[in-house]
This record gives sequence, C-alpha cells and structure tokens, in this order.
Amino acid sequence: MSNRRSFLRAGTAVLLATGARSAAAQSAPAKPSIGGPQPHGYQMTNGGTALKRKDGAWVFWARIVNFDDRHSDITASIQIATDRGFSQIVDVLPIKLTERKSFIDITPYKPKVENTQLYYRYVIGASPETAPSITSVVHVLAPWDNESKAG
Amino acid sequence: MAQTEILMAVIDKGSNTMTTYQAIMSALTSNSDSLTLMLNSTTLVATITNVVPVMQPVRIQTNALLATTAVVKVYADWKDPKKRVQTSDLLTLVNASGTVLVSVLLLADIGVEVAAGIAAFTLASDIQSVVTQFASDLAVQLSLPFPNNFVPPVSTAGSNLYWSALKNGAIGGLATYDEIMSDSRLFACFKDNPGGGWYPSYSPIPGSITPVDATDYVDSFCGWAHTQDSTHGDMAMGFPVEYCERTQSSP
Repeated sequence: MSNRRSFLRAGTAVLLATGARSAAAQSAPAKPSIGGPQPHGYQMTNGGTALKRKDGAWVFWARIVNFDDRHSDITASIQIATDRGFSQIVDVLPIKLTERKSFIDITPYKPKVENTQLYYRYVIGASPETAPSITSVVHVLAPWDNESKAG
Repeated sequence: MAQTEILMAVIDKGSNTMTTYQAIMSALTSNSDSLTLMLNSTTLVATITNVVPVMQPVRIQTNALLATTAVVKVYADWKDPKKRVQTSDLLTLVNASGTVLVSVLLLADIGVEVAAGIAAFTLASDIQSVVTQFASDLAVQLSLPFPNNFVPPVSTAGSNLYWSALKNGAIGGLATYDEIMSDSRLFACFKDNPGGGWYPSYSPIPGSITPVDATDYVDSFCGWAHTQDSTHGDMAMGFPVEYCERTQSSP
C-alpha cells in the first residue's frame, strides 16, 4: 500500500510540472465547447517527461503540434546538457514528428556520462527562438530517479 | 515483487458513461482499497499499483449494444516473476470490497517483460457474451491510432488524447479535444459492419467517462457544417452535409 501512495505522489509532481489537469477532470465537457481564441503556433500537448527503462536508458515521450499547420512534419531535437543554461551541450538527438504517428515521438537514449545530473529541452527547427514556450521547459534526469523532474 | 506495465482496454456498457472504469479509478485513489488480479478466481497473480488513462473513451454504437471503451495503462506488482498468463486465461480484477469485479479477456501473453500493444481487455461481465466474439477484431482496431514504436515504458503525462477522424470521415490519429473541436470536428467510434465485425467510424459526439449531451454535439457540428457549406460550395456533396441530412430529419 505504501508502494502505491509513493507512486501517486510522484505522478502528481509530474502533472503539476507539465501544467496538466488531473486525469479525472479530463473528460469531455457535457456540452460542446470551443474555448476562447483559436490556438496558434507550436504546443506540447502531452508528455515532456522521460522515464528510465530497466536497462538504464531514458525514454523521451512527447507530442508537439503546430496549430498553424497540422499536416506537415515537424523537425525538432532534444538537447541534453550538463547545466541548466545549456552552455555545455553533451548530446543532440534529432527527432521527427509526423502526422502518421499523431505527432508523438518516443526516443530512447542512454547517457554516455553516468552518475551526473543531465538537463534536457525540446528545440523546434534549428534554433530555440522558433518556439520559446516549448524550449523554456527544462527537465532534469537524475541517475537515482526513474522519472525526469522539472528543472 | 516485479513491476510490469500492461496496456488494457476497458469496455463498459452505456453510450457515454464508464462506471466500471471510474470505479477502478476511485478504488486506486482511496487509501483503504486495493486492486488485485486473480487467475481463475483463485490464484492471486498481481497487485495493481496504478492505472493511468492513455486514450480517452471511444464509443461503440452497434445494433447489439451501446458501449464505451477506454485504453489505460496498468502498473502491476507481479507476485511471481516467473508466472506468465497466456491467451484465453481468464483473469478477474477485484478490489477489497468487491465492488469492482470485471473479467480480463486475454489476447496476448502477459507477464513480467511481456506487454506489447493492447495486451488485455477488461469487460463488465454483463456484456462479455456480446463483446467476446469481437475481441480479436477490436484488438487490431484499437492499436491503429498508436505509433508503431509503442515500446514500454509508455509515458503519458498530461494525456488527454482522443481518437480522431478527419472531415471526410477517414480515421486519423490521436488528437486533443481542442484540436478536434477547432479543426476536424469528429471523434472515432465503432459501428457494425454488414459483413460482420466492428469497424472504426466517425461521430461528432465524443466518448466520455461522464454523460455528454449528444444532441448538443450534433447540433453544434451540423451548424458548423452548414457554414462550411455556404463558404465552400464544393463541399455540398461532401461528408458533413450528407451526415447531417441523414441524422437530422427535421430542418
């Protein structure tokens, strides 16, 4: 039982970090609602967190949508650095989000340097300026954790 | 105990309510209850530690029954890591007070390290006889919207994904509620195939764990289709207008 509660605590932390509402509140509205203005630009609708696999590799899971063009592929990359300011980037993983895969990307990655905290962020296109709201979300991979934390 | 993750489809009777599913969820958040998987009603196989929604409910509208299905990820503590549950084994999901009692109809091997794609179906017992014959059909269909490289572990933080359909009625991928309502405006559902089996179709009404107003959703969709019709004359022969004329008899 204590096992389960600790898991729920970890889950809540992730939900708060990504700004998502609790799972129970995510059912469809009773009546149709198209809330507010039309969404624009790039948005990370799901994920952003990474989970550690049993073999020690981290699996990155994210869904990024371009509301201005919902059919073209999105070229992005995951930047991995040793500091929060991303001055020392140790790895760049290129990713491609396609409509056929619902713009979901699942990328496994095994850090070359173990026993170090690593920071990662998603970058759309060639520069962090393309979608600042996505790039500004930074997560930490800690060697002793099984799940990435907001950095 | 060994941790494992299973992707499970929960099927509930009712057009857009999921009482069994909600009972599972509330059993997990309560502090005094516990969920376990029993094999053939006697052997304790695993203790469930968490259930996470992966895909929002999909409606099933057929002649035989109205039902709703949602895909969830189940985290289980396997009692004996060597124990494997095989196809056609009957598992029962049960909680301490016995209020959640559903059967798990197995379609793939489940065990530690074994859980790929949709691995299991849980059914409320009253619809078991109707759904069982379509189970293999549903397993293939429900895995359609997922990306090919759906490898464990599956992180679903912030997940509120619906299975969407495109404007012309073709079945698309996963999308959020806002995306569907502002663009494609259709949710996937399952319907009868005259030749047998169920096939994914489309509906303006979302599958939901709480009751939704179906008439309001259809009205809203047809109102939108009408404005599209007046701005794009070539869409008059297209899917939305045809759908609305068929479903709304009165003008």
